[in-house]
Amino acid sequence: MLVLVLGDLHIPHRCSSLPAKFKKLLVPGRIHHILATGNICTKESYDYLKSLANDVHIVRGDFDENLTYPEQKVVTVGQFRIGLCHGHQVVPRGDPEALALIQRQLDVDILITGHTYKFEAYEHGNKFYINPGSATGAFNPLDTNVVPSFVLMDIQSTTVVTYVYQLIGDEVKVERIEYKKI
Amino acid sequence: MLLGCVQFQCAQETKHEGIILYLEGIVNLQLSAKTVGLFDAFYNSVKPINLLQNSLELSAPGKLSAGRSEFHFELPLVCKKEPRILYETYHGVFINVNYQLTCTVKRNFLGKALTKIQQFCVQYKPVPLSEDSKKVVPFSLSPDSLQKNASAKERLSMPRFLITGRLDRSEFCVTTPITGSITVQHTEAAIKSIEMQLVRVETCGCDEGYSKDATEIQTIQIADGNVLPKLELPIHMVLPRLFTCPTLLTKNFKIEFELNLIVVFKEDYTVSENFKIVLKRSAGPLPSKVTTAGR
Amino acid sequence: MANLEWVCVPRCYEVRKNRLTGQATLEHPLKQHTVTVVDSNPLSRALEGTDPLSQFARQDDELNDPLSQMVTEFDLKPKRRERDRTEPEDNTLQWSSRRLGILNRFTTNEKLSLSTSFLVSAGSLDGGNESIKAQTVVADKTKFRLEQLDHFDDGSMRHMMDLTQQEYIQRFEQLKQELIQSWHNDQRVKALKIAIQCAKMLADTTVLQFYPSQPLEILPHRRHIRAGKGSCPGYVQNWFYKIASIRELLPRLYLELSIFKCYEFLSSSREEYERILQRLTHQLRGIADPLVSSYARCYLVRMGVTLTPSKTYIRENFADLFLVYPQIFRFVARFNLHPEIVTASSYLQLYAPAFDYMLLCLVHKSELHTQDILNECKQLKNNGAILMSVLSSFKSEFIATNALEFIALINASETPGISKSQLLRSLGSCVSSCAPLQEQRVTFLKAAFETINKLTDPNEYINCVETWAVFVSQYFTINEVNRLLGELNTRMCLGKAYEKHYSQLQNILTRIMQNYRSIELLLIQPNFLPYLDLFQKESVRVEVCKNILSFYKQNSEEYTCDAVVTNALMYLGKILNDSVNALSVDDERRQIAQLINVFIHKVHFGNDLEQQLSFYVEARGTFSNLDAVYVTLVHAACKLATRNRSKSTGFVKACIAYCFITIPSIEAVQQQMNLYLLCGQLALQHLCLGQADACFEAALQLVNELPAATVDFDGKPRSLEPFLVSYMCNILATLIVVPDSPEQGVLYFLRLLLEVVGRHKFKADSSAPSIIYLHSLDMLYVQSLERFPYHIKGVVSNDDLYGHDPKFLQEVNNMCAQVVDAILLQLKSLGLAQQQRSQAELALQLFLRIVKYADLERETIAQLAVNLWLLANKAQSQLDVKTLPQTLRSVEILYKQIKDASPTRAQAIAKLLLRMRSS
Repeated sequence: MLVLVLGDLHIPHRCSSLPAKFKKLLVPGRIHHILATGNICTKESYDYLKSLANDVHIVRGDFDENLTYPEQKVVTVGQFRIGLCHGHQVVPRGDPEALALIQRQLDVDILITGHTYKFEAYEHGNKFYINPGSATGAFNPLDTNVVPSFVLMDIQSTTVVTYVYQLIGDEVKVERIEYKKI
Repeated sequence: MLLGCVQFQCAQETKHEGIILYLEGIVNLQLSAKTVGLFDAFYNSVKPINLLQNSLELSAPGKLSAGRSEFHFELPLVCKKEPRILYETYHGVFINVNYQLTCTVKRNFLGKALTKIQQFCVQYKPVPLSEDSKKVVPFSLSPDSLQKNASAKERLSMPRFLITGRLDRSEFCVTTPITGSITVQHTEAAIKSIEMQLVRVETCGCDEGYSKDATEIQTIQIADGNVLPKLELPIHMVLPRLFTCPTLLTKNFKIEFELNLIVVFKEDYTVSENFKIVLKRSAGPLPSKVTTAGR
Repeated sequence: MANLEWVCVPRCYEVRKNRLTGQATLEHPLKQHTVTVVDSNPLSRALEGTDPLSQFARQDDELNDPLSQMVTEFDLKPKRRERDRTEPEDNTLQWSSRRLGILNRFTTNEKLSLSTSFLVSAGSLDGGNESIKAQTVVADKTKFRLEQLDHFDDGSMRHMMDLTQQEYIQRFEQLKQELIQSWHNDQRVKALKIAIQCAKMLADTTVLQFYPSQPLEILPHRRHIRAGKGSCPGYVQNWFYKIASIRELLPRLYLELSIFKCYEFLSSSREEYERILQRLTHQLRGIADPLVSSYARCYLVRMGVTLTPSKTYIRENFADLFLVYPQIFRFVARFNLHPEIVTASSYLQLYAPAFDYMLLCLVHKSELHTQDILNECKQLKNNGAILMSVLSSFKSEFIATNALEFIALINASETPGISKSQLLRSLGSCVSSCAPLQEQRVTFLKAAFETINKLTDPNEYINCVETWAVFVSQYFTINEVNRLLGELNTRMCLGKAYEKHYSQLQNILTRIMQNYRSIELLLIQPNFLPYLDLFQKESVRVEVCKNILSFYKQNSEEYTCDAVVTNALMYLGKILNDSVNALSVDDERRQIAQLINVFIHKVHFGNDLEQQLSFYVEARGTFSNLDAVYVTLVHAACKLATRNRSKSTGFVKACIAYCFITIPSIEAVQQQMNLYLLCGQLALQHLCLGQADACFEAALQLVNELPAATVDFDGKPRSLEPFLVSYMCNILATLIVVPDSPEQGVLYFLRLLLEVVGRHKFKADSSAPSIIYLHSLDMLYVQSLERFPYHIKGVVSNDDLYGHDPKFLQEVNNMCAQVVDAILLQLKSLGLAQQQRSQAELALQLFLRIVKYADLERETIAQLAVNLWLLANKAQSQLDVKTLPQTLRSVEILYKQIKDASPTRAQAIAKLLLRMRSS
């Protein structure tokens, strides 16, 4: 089961589109679910995601015009409960304890957040935390170095293999991270 | 030779006093109403002409068994006396050439005899048309050519026109269409329609006194409206099968055919031209004719 | 002043993020598999349906189904019309596919011109009488038609008056049914009679405009005679005999044609068919009316193509047609004198479907007669009508090769009823689909436009140019396109001709944009913007501008830095902006703003950031009516600031100043708040502290202007409280690093925030303020730490600013106490409002924060924690089963974390847990 995780696109205000090299990788029909951490911003971007996979879950980012997106969401994929939250509501920003609190409130195995524009994948208290970064590498008003990145999770029963795609220079670098549910 | 078979279908065994087949061929002549009276003297000459009379006993008195019984027969088709020839079957207004077969089953004196009549059709063997007849028959119509049926005065007031044409031959075969063409060379008055009329001329009687009647068989339009001058219009007339036969000239009666070319002008002014044509049988009958004529 | 004593405890532990290390890999699920993998796998090929089996299946579906086979056999089944179209191969010659088009075209035509033409002929009578008169005339005609039908013996036919065309067609449908019925009832002669009557009507040209659709309505009936065909040749022969004796020429020919296919039962030789077709062709000469005979010829060709591929008889038909052709113009001359019956040009148009179809059949899969026909066409006087059909039926390649000759032909053609513009129009669309040889093009274009420019009537001129615009923009350089636009400008300005031709002018523009390669090049042509001035009517102008901008959106380069292009775009955008007013609907605004935003995003001056910013300034001045454009501009300016590479902050300051000025003009408060925060963060990052403060202040001051709800895209009101909560959290997370301004005192923004929240009118019993307070506590706790979890490079945050000064800490503790007080007030009011569940949840949240942040060795704090726990426990039944255990688990985790680092604090927690259990 392939789950695409991405967010903070900021199209068209900060970037005109996804990096071409990413677009090339994202072909319709391969991905089963999409979890978007927000800041999809426009309907066009949403439609684009819809064209990649039918099952698209989105939470609201600070610049999402569409207020109908929820602030938090829980999606179950295989044996994993996955929590989704943009993260601009977290004080302090990206604080692991604050995130752990959300993780416990949502009672999820994996918590996915965005907002920091930095890829992260860590384990804390036996739970898995992922931040896919910004897929477009949109500028962050509080951080100057943003590397475009997104995440693809391959979920097989109790194992989730996470592939991180980062556009470094002009090349897509892929890393593989394996996480097993205990 | 006429070949055939009579079939009986009986529910049970049936007695009969003999089964006889009569063969008959007659020319029926009839004078048209307007000429009757006038030609009383020749009444005799219009009595039917017997072409064929023959009979055959299919079975002596006896019994027909239950179920189907068949009697096959063969009869010679020969005209033994004058005119010593069998004419083609023809159904006209005043002349009919008819052939029929009658089957009679005699029964005992209480029962009425049972009869069944079946007509059949006679056609000549095809003979090729003569070379002579293949010559084109040209014609032309103009006020001048109409002298015979118009006075000089009429002719003067008549619009000027010239219509030329041709019939492809003088003799035609009854099974192929009459062909030819017609061209309006010029005309002052607009033409409304050009039609070709097929007429049969039936004559009964002898040289001294006879009745001659022309009746229309069919008319077909060649042109509808004021056609373009100098344009050759084809004539194509299929001869109706039941109402035509090869031209027949005998001592007692004649069956002849004529064509009338009729040009109708806008002001209902009509001119026509008459052609005598000879019909022959030069091609074999189509199989359908037998069945149709037999009905 | 708070009545609670609060002391923050230092954070004595490190939260461990066990970062999972990744390995670089080349194998991943999105990897594009090379072709070999997929193709060598026969299974996957089968799945894709390219294996021979499924190919068969598909072919069967498309081609060999019995239905379409029937279509090829019985070409007249109207119901199968759809199927015909899907037939890929030979349907060019299918009449039925053209049938509908012709029927529609001439139907509407007829109705219109019928009433109008008779109205005119009615003369000087007053209005009411006129219409009555017109009606009776129509009725007479139909009555006349139906009288013909009344020759039937059974008297079942009735007179019908006042038939519309629809009813007329229905009547035919009825006749058709009767025909079928009589056929099935073995009343063959009656069926034949009906057919003859129908065919007779084909000679009726009294209502001229209806003629082309008339044969179509009648002819399908004939199929049934054929449908009854036995395979017995004699039986078929019999029918031919019957038909041959029909007196009138036209019905005789039509009926023979209609069962023409039956000749295959009598003779199967192609020569025989051709001989018969030839004979029929000649017999048709006897039909004097050129219109009637043209359609009869068309029918002949239609029947002929189903049996023989020979073209000889079609050629023959054209030979005859050309002979009769001058006749047509005798009628034309007459109609020229009496345009009230029918105009010459619409009379000639009646011929078009027949000519088109016959020519199409003639040149279908055969080049044999093309040159031939063209030559004869040249010789023909008044060749316009034929030329028209040649242009629409001949292969474009042929026309392209002989393009110059065609121009000469058109030039020479002086046909009444067929204007040169009509011909040129046709030629224009021909060469657009297939252009003449490269080396001839310029000469050809010159020759063509010499002729086109001679057209004096602006209507003819513009109609002509409409088709040529495609050709010019497709095959020529921008100069020719510009010249064309220029000519149009001059021509259409004469006598304000443009007023009547907006749609054509629009079409021309669309076609040019569709076919010319570069929209940018087009925009900068000197004649382009003046062309827009032709659209004097505001609504049309707006429409045109929208159209251009959408083309720009889809077809432009990624960026443009050309000042002239930009100017043109601004000009277009301004027209749109100015068209928006208070009455404009939201959708219109959105659409326009989107178009303008697209080009704002595309204007890009590379490294010349100053020029970029001045462009934004100009845009702000230009697009004052559009909120969404302002939002875009602010974003764009922010992005521009991030691109600044110089050390000096001057440019960034300019950008932020630009934003700061622009934001207040935006109407939506929510947008303003977002943008202020964004700008503030940006200013902070670039060390423009003053501006950052101004932005944050402005953002917070706006909170009270925020409406309680906004209207969604789907028109439903949506509360803005969730937005406000997350926005406040966002700002709190930012405020952590914002250093106190010397002018405003300690933690000024937090105080301001709390004040704003305190003043804001939330919904009754809303948990929103409490959540903000809780997160304020989070923020305050960070302030108490020796070292903040994050910083902005170059910004001296409060941790360094105060250096963990006890006075500052005291200030923080005081504020914590205030915030907790505020939360307790909320708890109380929730209790009064019987909101036990919310109350319990809030209590637990506060409980956790106390345990985490506060010094539990202080009795008041410990007591508060216990009380909160008890309060939550009271509402246990209403809480989620997991909530209480989860809270305890959080405490447990905390305990474990600090156990080693601070045994005293761990002990305090343990003590607290004991008190909680015992009470």
